[in-house]
Amino acid sequence: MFASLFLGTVHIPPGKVLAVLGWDFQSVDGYIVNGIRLPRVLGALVGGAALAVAGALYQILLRNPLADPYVLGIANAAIFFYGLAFLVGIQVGLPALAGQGVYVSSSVMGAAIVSALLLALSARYGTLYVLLFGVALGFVFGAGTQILIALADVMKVGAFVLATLGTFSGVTWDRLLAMSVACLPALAAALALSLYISPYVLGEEHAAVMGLNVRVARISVIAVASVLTATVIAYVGVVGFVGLVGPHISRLLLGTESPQRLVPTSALTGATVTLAADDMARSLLPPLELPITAVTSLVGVPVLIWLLTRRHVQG
Amino acid sequence: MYRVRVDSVEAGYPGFRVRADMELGEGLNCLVGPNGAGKSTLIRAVVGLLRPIRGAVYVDGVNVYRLSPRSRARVLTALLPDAPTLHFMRAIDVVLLGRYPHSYLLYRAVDEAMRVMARLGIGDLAERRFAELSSGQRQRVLIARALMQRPRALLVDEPTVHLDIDAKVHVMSMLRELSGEMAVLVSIHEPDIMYRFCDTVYLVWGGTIRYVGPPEEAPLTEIYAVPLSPAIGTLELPAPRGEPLLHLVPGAGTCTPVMRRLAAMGVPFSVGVAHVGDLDHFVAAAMGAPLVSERPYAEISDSALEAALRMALRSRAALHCGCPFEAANSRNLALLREAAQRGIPVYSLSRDPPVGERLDAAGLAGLVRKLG
Repeated sequence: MFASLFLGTVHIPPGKVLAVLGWDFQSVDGYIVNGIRLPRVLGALVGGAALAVAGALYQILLRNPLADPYVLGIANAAIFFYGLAFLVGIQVGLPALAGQGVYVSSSVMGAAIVSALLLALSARYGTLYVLLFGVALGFVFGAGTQILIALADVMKVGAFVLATLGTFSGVTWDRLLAMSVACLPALAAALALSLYISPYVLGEEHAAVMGLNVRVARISVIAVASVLTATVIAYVGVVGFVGLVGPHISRLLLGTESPQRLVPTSALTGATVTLAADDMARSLLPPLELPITAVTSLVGVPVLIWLLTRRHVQG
Repeated sequence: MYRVRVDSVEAGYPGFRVRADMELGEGLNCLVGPNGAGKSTLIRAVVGLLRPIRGAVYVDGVNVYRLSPRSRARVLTALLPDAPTLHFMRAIDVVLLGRYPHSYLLYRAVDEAMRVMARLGIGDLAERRFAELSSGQRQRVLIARALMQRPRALLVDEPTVHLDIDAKVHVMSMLRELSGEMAVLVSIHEPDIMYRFCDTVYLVWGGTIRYVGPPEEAPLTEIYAVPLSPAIGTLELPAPRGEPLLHLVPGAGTCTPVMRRLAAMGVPFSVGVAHVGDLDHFVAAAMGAPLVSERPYAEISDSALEAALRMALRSRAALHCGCPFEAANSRNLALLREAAQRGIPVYSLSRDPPVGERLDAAGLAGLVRKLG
């Protein structure tokens, strides 16, 4: 994490970074470290943790290692509703909120609508179908977003694409604070939930005879995971792959699929992977910034493949 | 001892209903019936996985449907047939999950989990991955998980499918032992397991319970098309129909393997004279083969001898399965000699044939081919 503070377009000696860290917002170096780099690093940590935890929750709920907010269409729905608010001005949710809050509440509502749909489908057809429905819904909302883009004002489209492209470069203290207000309680809820849903690893029916209230578990998992996903999307845009790879890395490193251990460690692996990816995004081709999803994939995939094959050799 | 009363529980799906009244007492209670009779539906309804259309389940007077899922899991639980797919979790992690209805902090119960596993003889499997265990070991791990819930009633849906015979006996013995501490209801469909382990049988058939009582008197023959010999507790193939090719001269169980081989090959045969109570008599009667009987230990009567001789003369050959001839069955030897004199080829599986041509067990198929 400290190393991340030293990276950047403007070279600042490590000693200087440590000297200004935490208090100096006045000098140029101090402002770069405290005003730009620090919120960005913290934003990557919080966002990465949130996405990985959301992915872990979906994977536990659906008992499917492929599940993550993107595969399930929840992210696409959040983006679509974000676009609806941003491009067309149709706000869903709490209109009283000002500024970014409008978009956040819209994306959370979008995520919640799709999640509720998936919940209803899972109750009727079982969790197996949820993945298929999710993928299908993802395409529908993806198409919707493209239609919005085609119809919207060109100036706004540019800003919209930038906002949803996925980068932590825009994370300021204000935004970090707002994002954390939504994410940190949701992360805490996820930790509590990980204790509550532990029998889920054996499957829904086994869990039910062990005393899990399956309905409560489903609803709370999807609610918490939706808030985490939608908040990150609203503030930093699409950060792909973390939700998928974070839980897998902790599963393989820890050698367990127990939710009690998987959820907290996914927060750590997600935060780490995302921070590393963000560092690379801004330092590989300075002064250009790469889209974070490109880098999470480039960092995450080799790690995942290495872990998977290593395990295969052992097994 | 805990008492479980299943009070007019009715459950099912569109187009299928099953209803039951049960009073689970001491000993191992077994739910027996053909596939699709509603055994699993009933178990799932009793444990609360399936919302019953009506009825109630009382454990010590408390209606478990009124309890929250968590409190219900402290009172009764079920072992379901499909073992979960897990990649990483160790056996002990699975057992610890059984602690869930008592505390969310599962890992504080490691000592208790080890005790339960040791008691079930799987203490050495604790650190092994669940996925690497055999089906029988997994079943025992899942039983340990159920015990961690400290239930008063345990329902087990088909615990013996996919298990080899050793594991079957092991798991069933374990459940029988547990039935001394809690009410245990097991659904099975192997009659041999039923005759050997169950104290009370509930026969499910056609959407309702048709019989409650000891396994010996369960009217399985009304349910299954395949013949059963209840005294031995095994299923038999029905005797092939048609003009008998071979007449078998039985005694002391010697013809039982021969009859099973012939039934498997589809070769019609007749049997006689067989003494009631002889293994050969049980099996031939269960198969429904043409059979001439004599009272236990009695000398063969004239009428029995005549009937058997007529049978032998109608077939292409007579086979002595190898039983030595003593006072009670000496007239079976006379039967074979008479048949031989009248031109029926006689063979014997005895090492030292008192009559006819010697045949070894491997020669049976050759003989059938020659005759057929």
